[in-house]
Amino acid sequence: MKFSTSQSGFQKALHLVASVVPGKSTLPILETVLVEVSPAGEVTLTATDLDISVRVQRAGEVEEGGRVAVAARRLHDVVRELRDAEISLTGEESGLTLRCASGRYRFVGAPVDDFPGLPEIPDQKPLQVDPAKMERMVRQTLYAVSTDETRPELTGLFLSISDDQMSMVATNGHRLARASLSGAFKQKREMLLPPKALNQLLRLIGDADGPLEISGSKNYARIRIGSTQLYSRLLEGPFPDYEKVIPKSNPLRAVVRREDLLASLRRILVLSDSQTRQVKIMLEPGRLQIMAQYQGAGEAQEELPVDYDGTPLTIGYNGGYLLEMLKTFDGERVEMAFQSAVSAGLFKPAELQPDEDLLCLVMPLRLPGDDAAG
Amino acid sequence: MAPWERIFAHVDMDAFYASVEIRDDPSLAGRPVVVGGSPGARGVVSAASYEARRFGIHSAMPMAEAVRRCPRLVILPGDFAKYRSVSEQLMEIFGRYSPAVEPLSLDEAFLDLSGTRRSLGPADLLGRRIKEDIRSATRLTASVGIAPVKFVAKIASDLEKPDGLVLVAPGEVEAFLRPLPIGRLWGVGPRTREALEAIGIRTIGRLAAADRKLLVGRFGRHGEHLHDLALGRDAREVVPDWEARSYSHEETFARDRADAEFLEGVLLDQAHRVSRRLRRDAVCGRTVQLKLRFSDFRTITRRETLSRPTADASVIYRTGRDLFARHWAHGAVRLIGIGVSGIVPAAAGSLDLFTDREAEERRQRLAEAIDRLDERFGRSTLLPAKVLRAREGDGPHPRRPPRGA
Repeated sequence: MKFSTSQSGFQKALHLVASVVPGKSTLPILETVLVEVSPAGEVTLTATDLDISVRVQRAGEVEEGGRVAVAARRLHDVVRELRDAEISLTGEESGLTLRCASGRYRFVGAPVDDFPGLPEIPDQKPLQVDPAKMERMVRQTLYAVSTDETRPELTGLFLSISDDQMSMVATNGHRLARASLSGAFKQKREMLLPPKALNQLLRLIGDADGPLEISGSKNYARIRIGSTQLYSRLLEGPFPDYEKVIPKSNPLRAVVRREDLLASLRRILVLSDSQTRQVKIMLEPGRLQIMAQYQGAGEAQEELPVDYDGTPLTIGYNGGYLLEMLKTFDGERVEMAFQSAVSAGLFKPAELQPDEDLLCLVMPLRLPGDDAAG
Repeated sequence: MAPWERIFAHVDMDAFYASVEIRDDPSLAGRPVVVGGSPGARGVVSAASYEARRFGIHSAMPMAEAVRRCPRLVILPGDFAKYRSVSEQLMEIFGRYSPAVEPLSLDEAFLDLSGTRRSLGPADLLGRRIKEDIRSATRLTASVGIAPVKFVAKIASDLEKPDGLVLVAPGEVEAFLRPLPIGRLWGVGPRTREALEAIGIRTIGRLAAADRKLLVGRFGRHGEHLHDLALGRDAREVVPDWEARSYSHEETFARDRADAEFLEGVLLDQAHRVSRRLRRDAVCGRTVQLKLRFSDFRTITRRETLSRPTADASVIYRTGRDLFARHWAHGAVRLIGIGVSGIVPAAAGSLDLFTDREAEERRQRLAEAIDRLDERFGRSTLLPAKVLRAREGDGPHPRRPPRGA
């Protein structure tokens, strides 16, 4: 193998794949990056932790093709520090040698054939999405996943595609976020994606150089962004039947300024119970009060203007849930709709792009002294 | 005198249930009184007045044995609603002295007075004031131990019962512990005591002087811990309220039972009761514990820690039943009980999106109605049919007549 490439391009590509490499693995081969060079002039870097794999392709000036696997972090740490514009690399199975004006670096190779193969994904009909829209959808839902390993199906982000809609749903059993996008998708597909893959995706999107395509098999998903590919093992479902818990008619509707509510919650939460993060919200026509108290710390109360003309309602929430949710909203105002102090509250940005939708559910906290029936 | 760095109080009511009964019925004064189950139904003594204790009667003794020791014993069924309301008065008083109160039972608690002393006065005065507050609010006496180490306060409160106040000043802890028998130490049960006595250690002083390596060799980490205690070293803190609590139900049968269906039915009922109380207090527990006592009085407890805290009756029951299946060898069972510990506030409190609220609330209302009936008519008014059928051979349940309206 023999090729040369720009330091910055090679460094960027290494940076993308190196983030997948596990810190310490029982399988030493997983700590390596596979460098493959084709005589046609393509340099491909691949790294995997067996759940997630990233493959990046860059153009290089290739003299001779070949494959070599070397320690990913070491290679990255050296390339990152180089000040040379051009570097040249030569390699065979036993190792990789990097040469540039400042010197020469040799990395011992690992057995190339031990490097795990990537999953086979049938190439038909990938789903195409605007990377910016995809990024927004992930950002608006990913925070809501569960971290409870005893309910693994809730630790994933549920991606569901139908003829004219794609949606992403996450829930931890107490709150739920669903972001949807309309479009002529013309296929049906469901997959449960692990958060690790989506965090990786957000990283790759930041560096996107082209459209985003999603395809999948029974157990794997592949997301292609330009010349970069992300493979992820899918989680096992079934994802709960979330549609039936979305309230059909929450008659008590209120609209507030998002920034006001967000800032208010940030202050109020300082004096809420650090375990429950309980805040009490009292709605009455024209007035929204938020309160919290924490024994031994103090208490707080604020009042915000609100567009509301329903019956007075007092409802408890985990204020942390509201805060995390509101941070992902865009636009100036937030719409809220309630039915009672013990049923799911519905939240959405009042202003949305015509092809986008975002809907969040948050279950209330039972306030001390509540009647069982609320 | 060394300064007080930390100051702990242990407050323990004197013969609590019996004292409440005597307070409310002066004709009982001076008579041997116990609260507990009836001797015919193989009840046990829950509390004995000091007059009854003179006959060697103590709590947890089978009632039949108590009656043998004192035929003119006055046996009262106990009024737990009343004890609970007195307990609430007590906890309110404790709260005046410290934000960190760890109740051990209805009538016993640790208080961390470390922060309080500066504002409320010297240690012995604090002890006197707590006792006086209890007396004026409840017309009952308490014994109080005050010490710079938590477990020493507990030993102290017991030394001059009833109506005692024992203060162990910093610097006096070792001298205070030295002459006491090792059985007074927390964590020294009958078996540990025997083993210690076998190597000539009868007093806490001897234990303190013992070679630490020898203790570790013999008792492992527990030996190290015991040695520290004997030296008056213990870093345990007051664990406020719910963190320390556990929720359990147990039952001693009128006759020993060896049929699995019956025992599982009882577990199911108990799991529901525990779950109800957990939910009432808006908490969950992480560890489920099964307790079995066999006809030879051998008692085992087995526990299982769940991956996440629960208050769900079916989870508590399933875990308890699995423990039962694993640890019950078909022998006759005298007592069975289930409990939940490792208490934390209910799962961040938010209600669950995916449970059927209506069904949940119907269950909750039913459970509360059953609780009210139980409270009015004594225990176990309504039971699952499975349990009732299995109990048919047992004759009527001990019951009290309804009180008031």
